[in-house]
Amino acid sequence: MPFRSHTILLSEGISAVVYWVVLLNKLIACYYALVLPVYAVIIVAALWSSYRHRQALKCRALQRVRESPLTPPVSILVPAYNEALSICESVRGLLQLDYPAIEIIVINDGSTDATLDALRREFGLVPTRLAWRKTLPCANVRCVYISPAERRLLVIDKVNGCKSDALNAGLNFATSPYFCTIDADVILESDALLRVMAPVLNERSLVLAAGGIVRVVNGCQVANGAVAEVRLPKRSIEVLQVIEYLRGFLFGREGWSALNALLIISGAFGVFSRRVALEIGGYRNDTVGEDMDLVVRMHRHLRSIRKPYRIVFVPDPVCWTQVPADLKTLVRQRARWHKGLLDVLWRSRCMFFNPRYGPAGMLAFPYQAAVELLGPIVEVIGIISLTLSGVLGIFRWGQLLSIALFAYLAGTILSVSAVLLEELTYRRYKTMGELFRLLAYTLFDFFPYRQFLIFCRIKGMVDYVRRPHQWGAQQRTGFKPAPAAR
Amino acid sequence: MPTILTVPLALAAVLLLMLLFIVGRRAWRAMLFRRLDAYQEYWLKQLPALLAGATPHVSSLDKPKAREVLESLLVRRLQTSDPVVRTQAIQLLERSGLLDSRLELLQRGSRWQRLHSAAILGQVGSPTVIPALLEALHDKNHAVRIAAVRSLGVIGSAKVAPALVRFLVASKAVDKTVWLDAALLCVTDPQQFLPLLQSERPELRALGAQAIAECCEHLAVDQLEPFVFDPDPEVRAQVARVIGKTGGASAVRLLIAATYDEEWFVRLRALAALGQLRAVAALDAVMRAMGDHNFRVRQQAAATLAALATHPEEVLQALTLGNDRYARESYLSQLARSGMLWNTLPLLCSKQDSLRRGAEELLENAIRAGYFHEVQYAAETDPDPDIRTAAARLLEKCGTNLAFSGAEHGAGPLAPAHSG
Repeated sequence: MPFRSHTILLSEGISAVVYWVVLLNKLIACYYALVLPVYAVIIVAALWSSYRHRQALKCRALQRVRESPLTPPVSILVPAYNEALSICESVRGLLQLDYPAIEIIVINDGSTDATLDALRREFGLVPTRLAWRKTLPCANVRCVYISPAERRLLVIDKVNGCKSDALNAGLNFATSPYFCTIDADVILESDALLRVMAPVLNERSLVLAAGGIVRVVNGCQVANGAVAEVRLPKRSIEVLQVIEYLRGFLFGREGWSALNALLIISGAFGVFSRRVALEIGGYRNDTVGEDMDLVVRMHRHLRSIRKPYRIVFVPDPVCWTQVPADLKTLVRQRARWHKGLLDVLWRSRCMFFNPRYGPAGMLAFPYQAAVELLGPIVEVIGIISLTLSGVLGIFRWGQLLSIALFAYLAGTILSVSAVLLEELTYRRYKTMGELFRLLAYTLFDFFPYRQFLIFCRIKGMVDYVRRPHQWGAQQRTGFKPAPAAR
Repeated sequence: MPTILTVPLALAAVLLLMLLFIVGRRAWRAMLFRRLDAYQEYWLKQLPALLAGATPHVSSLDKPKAREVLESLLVRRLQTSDPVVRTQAIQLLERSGLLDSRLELLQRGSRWQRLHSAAILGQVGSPTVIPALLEALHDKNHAVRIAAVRSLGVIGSAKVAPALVRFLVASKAVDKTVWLDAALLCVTDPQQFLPLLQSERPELRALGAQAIAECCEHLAVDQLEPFVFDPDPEVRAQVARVIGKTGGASAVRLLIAATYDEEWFVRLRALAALGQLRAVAALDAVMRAMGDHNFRVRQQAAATLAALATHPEEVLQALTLGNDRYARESYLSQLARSGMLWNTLPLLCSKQDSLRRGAEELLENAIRAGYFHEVQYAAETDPDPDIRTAAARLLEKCGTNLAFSGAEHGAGPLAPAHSG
């Protein structure tokens, strides 16, 4: 009798597990049934927007943007922390930018190396005093320097804060209607600023922010502060990031930009309206996703005052950035990004499915929350649920294989689509060999690279829950080298 | 099993097709370019004779790609500034029938052919194609109309200017960029844009104002006078900007009037324009604007003042006496930012009394207002001992003996002064 009751209990337990696994399977199927059409919409919007942009490029006279008296001046903010080795080269590169009116503000964020000395020597800096308003909160400014030889350059030496704090300090000193944020270790193509500012001059409604494409510089040949020859990197982990960046920028941002629902302009290279940035209180110091946070708050602000605006992604101005070449750095970077995403979405949760915020609230925000943020959790649950389904006999192994194949192929099609769009438009990777390599790596993008990213993201989420306000040593993206003291 | 794998197999097929398409397209492009190179090589050999007056053989123009290559070679030749080469190329286009076939395609081709022809004819740039392009402004397809506008802009003939303005007025939605690009290349007399400022449609008024602002060299200030007081603030701001470029007898008077405008950005534009004109007569108006309730206007007034004042020491003295700390700080800040304080230092050793006294007075007032950093830095580091001594003496005179150490307090911000 006891044996029978155990059997009954076991069978009831299994039935309950089966019930929940079947329910989970159904929920996950519903999730993907909703997500896949959204992907399709984004892809179509990206293709349409890309086509329109290429048509516009044929007629857009950059010469007019360069010569027009209406082209607004731009303040370029370069936060620098321990950049002694590269800062002078970066500033020289920025001074060579093809743009009629720029003001370069380097913010030395309490560097512990010779960043400031390098700048002083190279540009003959002279200490001065300037009247400025502390409109945005920032750490104490120690001194301000001008360069009598290069009047466009201004160097602010301040007490160490964080990247947002440095940007706020720069914003307090900026005088132009638009400001451009640039990481100190990226390479901008000479006409990138001109190209990214073209929509500001040409759009009918106020352009709040514009961002260009960020491409991977690893593997490329660099000479005199410019990319001389575009090449694919050698390491697999870097090539996979090339594909990821193509997918993220050419599809994601292009598509969302077409819907005027872009929530991210990369802080590595983005142009923003200074007036609106000041109105919303500048950058938040207590978040790591300061670039996304600024854009999301701009959406909220302009929607709340019911003023037409545009936040645009421009795919042809290129900013070349170094991506992590080892797994450890990549894990830290991605975990930090995901932590930032979670933080920004949580702070602006009122936008979630809120018609008041238009496509940004109704489409982009739920997408970011459901796909980008919670996607990793859903995928992990999906993997567990499918494995259990196989073990419990809910699905036959053939069916499981079919589902796994479906997921793999659908994901890979997305990756290949990104390469296809690159091939149809800008074709930066010229040789057939590089194209083959790129395509070969797309086969590994969904498996195992995606699972690796899922791990990084979940790590970021756990970290956020455990230590929501600690950004620790990972506070800066693209800053090198980051000492442990930070 | 077959039913289970149907969807994955379909996806695999799609994936395979995509991969094949990408690789195939790249390979096809490589092949196509090789073929085009072969045609190009052939035509380049023939070109001297053809340009000299020979007619290409009919059989050599049989293949569309061969025609395309010859056409693109000639169009490229047309981009050169040599008028003889241009004439020869246009004659060859006419002789070979390529121009006629393009004109025919523009009128009767498919949408894509009309679009492509409109673009090519713009590059040909011959006056003979203008009527066809003007006709294409009424094409049923929007993209073709836009391509025609663009091509007319490329040709840049003043004759088409009225037609372009009429096209803008008649159209409900025009690509602003394309129209502006074309109009700015064709319209030599900005007066043709003036009627747009009186349009009832605000977007046309704004576009007209922008067009005028971008090509204002030939516009007399008297023609713009009525628009200084236009009801649309965007127009007023653009007109102020234009006046700053054109100048003229009544420019300063009009701009001074604009400094009283109710909109801050019009006042700001007017002040910037006064700076551009170096209108010393407007000094009082700019001094008054230093006390404007809007922060940006005050900043611009300070920048204008720094540009206008031939004797900054006198302006600084006046501002100090005026007891407006914010105005004085703004002005000194502009002088510091523009490098004027630093550049004044060598004048401390000038042999001309007036220059030396002016420099001393300016720097003394600056030091007393807290702007001592340049002088102190010069006293410590300047390679010229005379300047070091003069700077040190000046610091001593003002009672400032601080050693330069980053000067944290020197970089302190101003407390918010007024609203705006």
